[in-house]
Amino acid sequence: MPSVLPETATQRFIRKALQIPFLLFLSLILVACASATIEVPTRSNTQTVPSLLPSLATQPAQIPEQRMLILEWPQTIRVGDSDLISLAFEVNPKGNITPMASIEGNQVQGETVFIANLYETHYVFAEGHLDISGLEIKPNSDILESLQMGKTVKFAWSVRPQQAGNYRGLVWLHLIFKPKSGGAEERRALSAQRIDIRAVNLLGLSGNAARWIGAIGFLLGSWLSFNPAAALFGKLWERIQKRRHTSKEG
Amino acid sequence: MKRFSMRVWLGWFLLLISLVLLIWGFFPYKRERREMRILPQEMQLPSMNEVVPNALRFA
Repeated sequence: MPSVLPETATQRFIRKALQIPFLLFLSLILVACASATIEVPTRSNTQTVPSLLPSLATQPAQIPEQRMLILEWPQTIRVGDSDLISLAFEVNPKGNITPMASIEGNQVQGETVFIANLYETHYVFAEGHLDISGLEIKPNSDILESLQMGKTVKFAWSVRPQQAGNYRGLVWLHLIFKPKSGGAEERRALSAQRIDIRAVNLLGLSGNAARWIGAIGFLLGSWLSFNPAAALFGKLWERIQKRRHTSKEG
Repeated sequence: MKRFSMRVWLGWFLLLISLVLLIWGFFPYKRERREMRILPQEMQLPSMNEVVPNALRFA
């Protein structure tokens, strides 16, 4: 059985000397952890948008209205039939050009800045172009319309498929700025929207052929079925009348 | 009577086929509509950043 020896003064001194650096090291770790805690910013009612407002204040000349671009096209067309693809560049009545920003319910309104009106310095044109292969398009060339303040511009193309299949195309809208003082015009592609059109036929019949055959068949079918049917009902009616007549006489 | 009913049946069959053709021929297909909002910032004169490609700008 091992005997426990009493601790000498030297041993006690060494043990205490080792404890002091350990405690120091522990306190250093604690301090480091305390300073490394992430501070969660408190949410205030007002927030500033440093990047948005200066950019609005230094805006170059532009068209001072919001617009809506509305594209309408047929999803499916019967072979041989024509349909319209229309593109309207309308003025948005709810458009607001005062620079404003809204962040999570808190509204920040910026200063009203002067934005030079492009209509005053340039002639503005809108150019529509339909790019689709395999379909007969009218008009085939670009459509150019003058863009005026508050006025809607509409483009329309008539398309006619000659064969069944899927056709994919692009509808382009360009803005053309021509300086009133003279000089080279500048173009800006405003949108290029993809459209998909499916051309269908019925057992190889085009839309027009199906309608004509349907109309002729309807007339022929009516003549074949309703004429004998009417005659049959006529005969039955005559018999009923005769029976009534004889019963009254009897 | 047999010839008479055959004629009626043929007439009805023709009517049915014709109706299918007419319905298909006049059926209005759905039109797609897509709306896009254009901001004034998109309707301004093109800047140098948009016109000149990066390689040319920094050459």
